[in-house]
Amino acid sequence: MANTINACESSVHCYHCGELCNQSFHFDDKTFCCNGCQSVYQILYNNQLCTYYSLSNKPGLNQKVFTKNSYYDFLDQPEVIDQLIHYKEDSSLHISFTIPNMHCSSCIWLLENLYKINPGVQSSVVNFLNKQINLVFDAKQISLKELVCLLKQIGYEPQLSMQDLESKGQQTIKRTWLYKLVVAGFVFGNTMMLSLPDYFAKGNFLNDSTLGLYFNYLTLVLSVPVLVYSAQEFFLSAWQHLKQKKLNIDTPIALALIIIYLVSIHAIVIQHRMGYLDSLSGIVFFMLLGRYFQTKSYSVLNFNKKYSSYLPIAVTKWNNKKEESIAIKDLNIGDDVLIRQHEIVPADAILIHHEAWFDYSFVTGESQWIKKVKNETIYAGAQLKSGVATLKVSKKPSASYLSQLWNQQNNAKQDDKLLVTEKINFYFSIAVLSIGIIASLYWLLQHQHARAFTALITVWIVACPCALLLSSTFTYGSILHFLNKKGVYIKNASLIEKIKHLKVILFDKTGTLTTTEKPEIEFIPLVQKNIAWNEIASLTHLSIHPLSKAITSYLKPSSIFDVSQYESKTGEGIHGVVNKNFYQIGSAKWLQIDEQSENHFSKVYVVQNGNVEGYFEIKNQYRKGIAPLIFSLRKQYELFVLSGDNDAEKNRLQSWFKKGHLYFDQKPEQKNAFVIKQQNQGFTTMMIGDGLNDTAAFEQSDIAVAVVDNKNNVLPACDMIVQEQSLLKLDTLLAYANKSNAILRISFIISILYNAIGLYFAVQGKLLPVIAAILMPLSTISIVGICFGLAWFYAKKIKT
Amino acid sequence: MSALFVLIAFSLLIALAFLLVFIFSTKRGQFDDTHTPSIRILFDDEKIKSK
Repeated sequence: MANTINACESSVHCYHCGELCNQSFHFDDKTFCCNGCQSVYQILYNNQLCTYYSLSNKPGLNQKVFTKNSYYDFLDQPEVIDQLIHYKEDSSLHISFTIPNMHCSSCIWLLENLYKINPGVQSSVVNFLNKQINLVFDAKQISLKELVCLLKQIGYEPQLSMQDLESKGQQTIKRTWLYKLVVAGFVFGNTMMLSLPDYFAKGNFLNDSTLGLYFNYLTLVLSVPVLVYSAQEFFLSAWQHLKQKKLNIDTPIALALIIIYLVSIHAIVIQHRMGYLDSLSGIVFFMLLGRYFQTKSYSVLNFNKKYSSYLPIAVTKWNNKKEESIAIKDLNIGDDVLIRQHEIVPADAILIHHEAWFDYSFVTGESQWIKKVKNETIYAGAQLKSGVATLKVSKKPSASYLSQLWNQQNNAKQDDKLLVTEKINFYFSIAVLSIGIIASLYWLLQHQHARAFTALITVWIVACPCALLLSSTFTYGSILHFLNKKGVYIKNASLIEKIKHLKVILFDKTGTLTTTEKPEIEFIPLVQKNIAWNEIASLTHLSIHPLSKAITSYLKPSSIFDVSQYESKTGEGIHGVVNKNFYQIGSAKWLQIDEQSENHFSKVYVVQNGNVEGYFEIKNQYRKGIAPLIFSLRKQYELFVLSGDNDAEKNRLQSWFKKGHLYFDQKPEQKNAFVIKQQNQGFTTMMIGDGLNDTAAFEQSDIAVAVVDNKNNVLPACDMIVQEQSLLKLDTLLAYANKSNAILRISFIISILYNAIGLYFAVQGKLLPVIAAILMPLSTISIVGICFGLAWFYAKKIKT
Repeated sequence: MSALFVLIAFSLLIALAFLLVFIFSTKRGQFDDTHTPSIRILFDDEKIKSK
């Protein structure tokens, strides 16, 4: 088998990941961009799994960055295994992983054929939407560590974070919802069927036949599970609020359900008449349906991230000059830990190494890397950028600055304010109830006691705020649903109400106004001569630093030369010999060049054989179409830019934003203070950022919007997730969310109409079960139809 | 009419059986993932290649 490395035409794409090959690896007549991609192919080839490549085009993901297998040593510890696995029978273990790299049908196919690579895997089932794989494996044949390494080798490294150790069991909640719903639906259908004969016989059927009696008692028995099981949550939540001497939306519902049931027992057992049991189960069924619909649309996304989900599960510990992988929760004060490049510091610690560079953007929002020297404290959450560093843990991970910050924010944000619609609903029920009391008082004065009783009771039945409640749940539910389709994910319905009051929008610059990829690059020559671009590119393409990558893709080298004596100095630059020329490419400081230009763009200098040839100036690239968006949003909202970076881009931004609305060099505390200042003036504030920086200001704002690209699978803690391509339509999408107002108004009017009809009969004491049975489903179905239909109609009008 | 006593009881039993089947299949995970199976069904059977 030919297996060679050589320089080649650069127009070849990698057979595995589809990226342009700068350096190519050949195997089985296929070309690969790196050793990693090739080894994935080799594994698949040896196991006859090449169908992988025929299911979708270039399905693989680039394998250039690699973690060492020894990192997973902690997976050999029995306690860690016990915490990760779901359950165990003999030697087979059940476990599920989240795999962020899962993105196409090839992934599903390969992951479900794992058993062909290693027979120790007994079963593997993928849940694509949750990016999850459920595995059963035989611990005798393959250990957990080997399994994880196998997944990593084929390019599907599972995400193992602290949070995985802490929580499981979302599925069961979803299933319970479904059980309650189907039970209610089943009873609704059957009681309706048993009531129909009476409705058709205009009330004469059940009154005087034994068959009628039999039917009535059947409905009574059938409704029991609806009351005690399906409607459980209404009673529980009403009771919990009552204990705290509060009333909530579920209080009138719970009350109405109990009254309907008691009245029906009275009617069936004593009066030998029909009850309202079909309406009862119908109400419960439709209300559950509404809530199910509303929660279903965003159950996939995990909005409530904990700080622990950002930390790795394990860390390398120095123990008697030996490397040892231990779980983070077992980390103790005084332990020496070894952090490698790109790893995250798990706990507040003191640097033992003489110096190291850290990226603090996750903790503080600063995009510049920070140099730390010996004995300085490093906070948890910082990412190491330079080679390797040793740290001494000074606080337990759970007591770190990061976790404190996190808990503080989460406590501050918890509020269970009633939605406006819920308030309306509440007052509406009180109003209807008082109408009922007035009506029964009226009949009492007329000395018609029985009629007074029926009027009171039936008004309560009408008052069950079913229709109103449904109109809000279905309106918000369908708006959330259509926004999901447009690439906007909103945490919950109360945020749609917040959007209505939105006044101020704050933009983070990097990653929000600018794109995450392809910066604008210009080469500024300092000497008059032809520059050997390919030689420079030969060097830069070897480095994985973002600036080197940007320069390589800007130069688009036509050929790549061999590089000797290549060396990369983290945070400084690279050097090496190409075609007998010695190149140094890097920062001015490293190369000891006096910077003359005033602007603050990132610069990368090129020095050939000791002579400065010039520098690359790297400007941020703004998203295409961001300017029209800003001008459109300006009409309605106050826009600000809060950037942690320097003011190099001030002139360009000034043409888009109002004077004095640009803030540069903002520290995280300043950003946070700015948000609070806006809120104190009574403005509802939205902050748009990539969500990984500025956690404090982000959490403080009323609506935290995270912009994510498809490749980045890390979802930050936020209220709203906007996909990159949807950001440019933010103005129309916000306007769409505001349409909920109009839809709600229409459905409110309709439900009030239905209620008025119901009340008309009820106050006269003439609300027969048949009228209730017609009104209730009719009002529900028309309201559901209108809410969904209008939401769909407005969504269609958004241009995609 | 008296036949209805039996018939209604039977129809309820059958409906109940369907309800139980539904609950049972939910418990087995039938409705946990409604997306992946739609992709899975499009995979071809293995062509066994000889080296």
